[in-house]
Amino acid sequence: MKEVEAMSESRVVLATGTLYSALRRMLEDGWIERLEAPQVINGRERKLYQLTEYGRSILQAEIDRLQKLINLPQLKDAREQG
Amino acid sequence: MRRNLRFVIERLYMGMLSLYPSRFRANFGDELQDIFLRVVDETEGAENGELLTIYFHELKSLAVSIVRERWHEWQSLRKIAAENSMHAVDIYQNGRVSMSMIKTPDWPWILRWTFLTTAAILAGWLLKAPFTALLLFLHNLGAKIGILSGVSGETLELVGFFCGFALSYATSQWLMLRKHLPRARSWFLGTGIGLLVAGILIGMVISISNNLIAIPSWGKYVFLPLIGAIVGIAQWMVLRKVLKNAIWIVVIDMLAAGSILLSGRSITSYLESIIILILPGLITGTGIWMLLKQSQPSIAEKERELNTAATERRTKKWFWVLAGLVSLIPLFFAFCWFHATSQIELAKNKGIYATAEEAVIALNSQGWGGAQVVKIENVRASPNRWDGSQPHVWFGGGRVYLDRVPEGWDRTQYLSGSYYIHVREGWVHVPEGAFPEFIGWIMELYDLEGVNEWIEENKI
Repeated sequence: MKEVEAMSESRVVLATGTLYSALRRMLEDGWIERLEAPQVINGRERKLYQLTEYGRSILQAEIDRLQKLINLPQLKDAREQG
Repeated sequence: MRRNLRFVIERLYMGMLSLYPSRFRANFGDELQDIFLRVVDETEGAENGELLTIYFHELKSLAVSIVRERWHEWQSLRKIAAENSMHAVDIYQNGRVSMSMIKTPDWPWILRWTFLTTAAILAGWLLKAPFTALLLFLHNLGAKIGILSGVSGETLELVGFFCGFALSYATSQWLMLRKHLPRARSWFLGTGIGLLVAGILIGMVISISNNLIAIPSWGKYVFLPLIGAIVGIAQWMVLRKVLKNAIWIVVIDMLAAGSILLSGRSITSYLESIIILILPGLITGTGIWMLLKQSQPSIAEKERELNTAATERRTKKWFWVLAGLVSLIPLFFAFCWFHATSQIELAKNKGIYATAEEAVIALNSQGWGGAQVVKIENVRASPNRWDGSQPHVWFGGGRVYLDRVPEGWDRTQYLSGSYYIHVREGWVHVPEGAFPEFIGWIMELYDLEGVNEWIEENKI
């Protein structure tokens, strides 16, 4: 959660409730899966989640969509100059 | 302070976790708790303002998430129900009945039963006044149209108590049995009707005895087990189709009602109060628990598979408990009004006096167990509170001299003291057991009997 806050420069501050509602939704939709065996990190047992193939493709599609949005102004500029 | 705040927030958070749907809780409950504790650990160095912001953010997000997950769970159940209509019938229509047949109580159930029965006895006592007022109204109405007359206030109070007690006692038992007994609603009816019949019967005997015959001192040894027997028979009629050896409920109820005899003639000592408040519940609880245990096979035959619905129902129960608690607030205020108005009506019915002193004399001139009052000295009455609040609630008394020692007493003179309240027409006596100060507060709250205007006029 701290990482999300740092990456988004405090624009997104996740709380536990929000996080786990999102996790439940992504698990149900098959975007992520829970690793069977919990892992011990820094002396504490943690349950880990990872992206599924389907989740990865969704993520890629979202990245592509955002990338296109970012590219739109540049394309517009290029057309106007060209 | 920080440690206390952390303790409170942690408890609040854990409590809120239980509001999630059971499936969500089973999947993520431990993780949520673990992550939250880690967040809390990380706040060690934070300033107070920042700390509060973090806690508020966490709790707010949790509340929103609970609502979201509850909605999601409800939608999912509807979806499941639509896909499988048989299953839907199980969950939404027959679930309650099926659930009621699954469980047999564990032994702590007896403690819960005892606690609820104690609460029912107290509630019955509180409900006595409103029911008596209602009966009084009906009696006066009956007298006006000439179909009823001559019922004493004492009898009406007794029947009023039984009405309130029937309601609270039957409700408490239904609450405890609805998961363990098929057709628990019939139990509610059986218990309620049994107590009402017992109350009316005893009331009739007392009414006749007031006019024609005197009840002998051993009467209570007959009346109390008789009440138990009547209630027991009514409950047996419900139980006999479901439980083995259901007839034992009659013996159990007789023992429970008879146990009150152990308390002696008053409830002044703690031991006697405990006997009256706890023993009947303990006896009926243990007895019914044993009957339910014995009858396990016959109930088990009707068991159904409802694992998911069972967990869901528990969550639903908590929701209703919460909703019930919230609805208690308006109910409390309604009860306050009802309690005060009915108590004032009862008090007025017993007599209205021009001054509190006159009320003191009238109250103490009678009711000394057959002994005659020779004189009353040192009659005094003054506001109950010295701080000037509730000037309409007074405390008064005097020294009463009797011509002989009343039966069951040991002296011929007594210092009496009781409460008197000013109503629109004058002063009335309100016994301590009716919580006169509480009534005084309600009178001000609802401006009953024009009390606020009177207080304004009589300001010292």
